[in-house]
Amino acid sequence: MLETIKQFFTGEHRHAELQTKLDELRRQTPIPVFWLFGKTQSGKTSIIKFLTGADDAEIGQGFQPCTRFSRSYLFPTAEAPLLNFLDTRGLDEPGYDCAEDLARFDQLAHVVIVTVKVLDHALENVLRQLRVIRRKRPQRPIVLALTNLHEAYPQEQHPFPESVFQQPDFERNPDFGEKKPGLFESIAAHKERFQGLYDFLVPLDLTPPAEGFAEPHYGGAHLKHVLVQALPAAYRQTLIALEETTGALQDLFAQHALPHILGYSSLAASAGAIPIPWVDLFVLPGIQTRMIYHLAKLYGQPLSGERFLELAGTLGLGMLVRQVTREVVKFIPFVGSVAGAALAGSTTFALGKAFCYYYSAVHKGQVPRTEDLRRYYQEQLAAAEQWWRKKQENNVIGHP
Amino acid sequence: MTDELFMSRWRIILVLSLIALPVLLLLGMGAYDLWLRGWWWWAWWPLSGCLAAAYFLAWRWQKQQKLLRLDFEPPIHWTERDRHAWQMVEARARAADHVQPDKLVTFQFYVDTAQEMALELASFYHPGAKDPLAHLTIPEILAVVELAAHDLAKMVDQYMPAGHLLTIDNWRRARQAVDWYQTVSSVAWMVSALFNPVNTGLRYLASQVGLAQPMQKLQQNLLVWFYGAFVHRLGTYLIDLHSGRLRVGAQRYRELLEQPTEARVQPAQEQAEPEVRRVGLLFAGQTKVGKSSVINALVGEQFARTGVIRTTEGITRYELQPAGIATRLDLYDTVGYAHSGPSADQLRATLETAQNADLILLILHARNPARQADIQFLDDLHAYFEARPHLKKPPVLGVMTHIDLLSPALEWAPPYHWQAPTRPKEHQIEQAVAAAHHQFGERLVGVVPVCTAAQKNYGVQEWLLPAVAELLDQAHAVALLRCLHAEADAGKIRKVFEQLLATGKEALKILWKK
Repeated sequence: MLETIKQFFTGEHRHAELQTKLDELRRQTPIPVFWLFGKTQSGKTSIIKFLTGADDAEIGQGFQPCTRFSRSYLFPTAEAPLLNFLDTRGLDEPGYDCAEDLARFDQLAHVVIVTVKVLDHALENVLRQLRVIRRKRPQRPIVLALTNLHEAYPQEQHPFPESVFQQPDFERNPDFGEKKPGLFESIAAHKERFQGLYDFLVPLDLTPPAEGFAEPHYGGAHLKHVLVQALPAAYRQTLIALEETTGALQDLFAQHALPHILGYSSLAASAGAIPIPWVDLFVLPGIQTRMIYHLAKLYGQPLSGERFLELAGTLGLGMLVRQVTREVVKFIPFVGSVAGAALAGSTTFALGKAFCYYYSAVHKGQVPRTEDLRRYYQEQLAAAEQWWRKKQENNVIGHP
Repeated sequence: MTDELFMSRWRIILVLSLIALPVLLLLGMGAYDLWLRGWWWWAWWPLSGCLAAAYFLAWRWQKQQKLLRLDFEPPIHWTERDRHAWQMVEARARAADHVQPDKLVTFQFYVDTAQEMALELASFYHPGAKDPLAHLTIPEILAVVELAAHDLAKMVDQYMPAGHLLTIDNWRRARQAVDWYQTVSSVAWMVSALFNPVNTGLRYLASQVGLAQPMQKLQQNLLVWFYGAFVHRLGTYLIDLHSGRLRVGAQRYRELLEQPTEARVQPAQEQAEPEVRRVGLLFAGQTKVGKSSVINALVGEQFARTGVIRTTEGITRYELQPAGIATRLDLYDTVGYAHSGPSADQLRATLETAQNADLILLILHARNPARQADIQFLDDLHAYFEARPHLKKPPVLGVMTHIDLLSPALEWAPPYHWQAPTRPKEHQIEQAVAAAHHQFGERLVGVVPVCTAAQKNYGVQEWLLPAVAELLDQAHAVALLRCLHAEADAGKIRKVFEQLLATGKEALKILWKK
C-alpha cells in the first residue's frame, strides 16, 4: 500500500502513466490518414512536401516501415501527429499484393491518393491492386492525381491557367486539346482506364522552385480543396487549421514550429474532451510540458524550454490558471466536454505560440518583458478559443 | 583413274627432272670446281650460314605461327557452350607440341585423335549419358567427315605444291627421305674426313649445331601445324554437329555459312569479307516508353522507305533495304509491356523474335525508375536462351529516352557531356545512367542516353550508333550503317564505322563491360 502511494508520487510512475494516456489520446484524436498509392517517382513525396511544408530530409527520416511493402509518415512527429501518410513502396516489386496493406490500413485510411505520371501508361499493376482496394471499401474516396504535367510540354512553362483543369470534361475542350493534344489524349486515356476507380481527378505539377516554373505548385490549391472535400468532416479541420495558421506566418521559426504546436494542441483537445472531471488534471500539464521541451529541442536550445516553463509557471500561463475552470465546465454534460476540449486545445496552442514569441525574442538577444509575454499569450488564447469552439461546433453538427 | 594419275605423275616427274637437271649439274660441277681450287673451305661457311639462318628463321616464325597459321576464330554464331567446347579442342591442338614426331606421320594417329575428340565433345554436350554418341544420325557423322575432309583438302591444295598428288606412301617416303638424306650426308662427312680431318671435323661440328638442330625443329613444327589444323577443323564440325547445326546436311550447311558475294555491289577488293544479308535489331520496353520514336530517330530520313510488316503476335517489323545494297535491315518493334511484364503470348513471340536479332535494345524512360517489369523481361530472356544452349543470346543495350525531361526540365541546350558532367543536367543524365546501371547490373551491357523528341533529336549519332557499332561484329555493323545511309560504297561506310568505333571506345566509354 505504502509502495503504491510512493510509486504514485515518483516521476517514473507518472511518466509511464502519461505515456499510456497519450497513446489513448492519439487514438481518439482525429488524424487524417492519406494512403499514397503509386509507382516510384510518380510524385508521392512531392505531395507530402506540398501539404506539410516539410523538406526532403525531414520526410525521409520521418518515414517508418509498417508493412513489408509500406511505410508511414506521421507529421510533424509520431508523438503529436497532425497528419498520417501511408506510402506503398512495394508497388514496383514483383508479386506485390495489396492484401497485407489492406489488412493494416483499411480501417485507418480515409482517402487514397493514386499518383500517376500523366504520360505513364504502363499501369497494369496499379490498376489491378487499386480494383481490390476499391472493392473492399467503395465509399472511401480515391483521388487520382495526374502528376508531372510538364513532361507533356518539355522545356515550356505551363501553358494553361490552373483553372482549366477544374472545368468538367476539360479534356474534350477543343481549345486546349488542339494546343497540347498529347496531354489531353493522355488524360482522356487515364479517365477511361480508371473509370469507376476514382472520385476526384487532380492534374498536378509540383516542382522544386529550382526547376524554374512560374507556378511551382501548379494544381496544388485544387488538390488541397479536393482533399478537404474527400476527408470525413471530423478530419477536415486539421488540414484547414494547418493551412490557415501556417499560411499567415512570416517568422520561419514559428512557421516550422506551428505544425508541432497544432499536433500537441489536438492531443490536448482530445484530453479535454474526455467527459470525466479531473481525469486530465495531470495529463494536460504533461502534454504542455512535453510540447515546450519538444519545441526547444527543435530549435536546438533545450535549456530555453526549461527557462520558459519557469517563467510561464510564475506568470500562470497555460495549464494552471485555467485548469480549475475547465474541470468545472466538465460537470455540464456533453456541451461541457466540448468546451473542455476547446479550452484544453486553445491553452496548449497559446502556450506554444507564447514560447515561439519568447524564443524569438531571446534569439534576438533580449528577454521579453513579462507583461508583453502575458499579453501575447492572452491574444493567442482568445483567437484560438474562438477558432476551436467554431471547429468543435462544426464537428458536432457534422457528426452528432 | 589410277592409270590417269600415274600417267600425269610420270609426266610431271619428267618435266621437273628436265628442269632440275641443268641446275643439279651446275651445282655438282660448281662444288667440284670449288673443291679443286681449294676454295671449298672458304665457300662452305657463308653457304652453310645462309642455310642455318633460313632454318632458324623458319623454325622461329613457325613457332610464332607467322609462316603457316592456325588463325581460327570461333564462328560468331556459336553459343557460350560452344565456346567452352572450343577451349577443349584448342587444348588438344596445343598438346601436339609434346607428341613424338614419328607419331604425327602415322595415319592411325589421326584416326585415333578423331575418335577421342568425338567422344570427348559428345560427353561434354551430353554429360552423364551412357553412350554419348548413340543419338547421332549417320548423315550427321558423315557431314562432319565430309566437311573436315573438304577443309583439309583445301588446305593441302593451298600450302603444298602439287599436293593433290600426295599419297600416304609419299607422306611416309618424305619422312624416309629425310632419313636417307641423313645417312647419305653421314657417309659424305666420313669420306670427307679421310681427305681433310681437321677441316671436316670443324665443319661437321658447325653443321650439327647450326643446321641439323633448326632443321629438325622446323620439321616438327610443320607437322604440329598440320596436326593442329586437323584438330581445329574436326573440332569445329564436331561442335556444330553437337549443337544440331549439321542436321541440314553438309551441302546446305556450307551454303548457309558461305554467303554468296554479289558482284553487283561488291568491289573486288572486299571479296574477302562476306556480305551480311540481314541485320536484325529488336526493340523492347514498357508501353509508350518511346520505342517507335527511337526507331524513327535511328532510321532518320530512310524511314519513308521502310516497309512495315505486322505479324500476328503484335510485333511490327520494319524492313529497310535500300536499292543496290544486298543487306536487309530488320527492326522489330515488340509489344510494350505494361507494369507487370508482357502477357504470356506476347512474351513468347518477343523471345522467339529475339533469336533473329543481332542486338536487343531495351528502351527505358529517364524519368520513370519503376523498372521491375524490364528486369522481369530480361530475366525471362536469359532463361529462354539458357534453356536453349544451341542458340546465341544477343547482347542487350539499354537506351534511355526522354533525357530532356531530366532536371532542370526547362533547359535543353545540347551538347551534354554527361561522362564528365559539369552542368546540372549533365549531372542528372549521369546519375540516371548510374541508377540504371545499379538496377540492371550485368543484365545490360550498357545504357545510352538519348532524346528522340521532334526537333530535339540528340544522342543517336553521338552515343547510340557508336555503342551499336561496338556491339555488332564489323561485318554486321558495316551492313547496318550501309542500310541506314543508303550507301552502296562499302568502303566509304567502313570509314564511318571505324570513326564510330573510335569515338565509342576512346572518348565515350558507354559500355559497362570489362
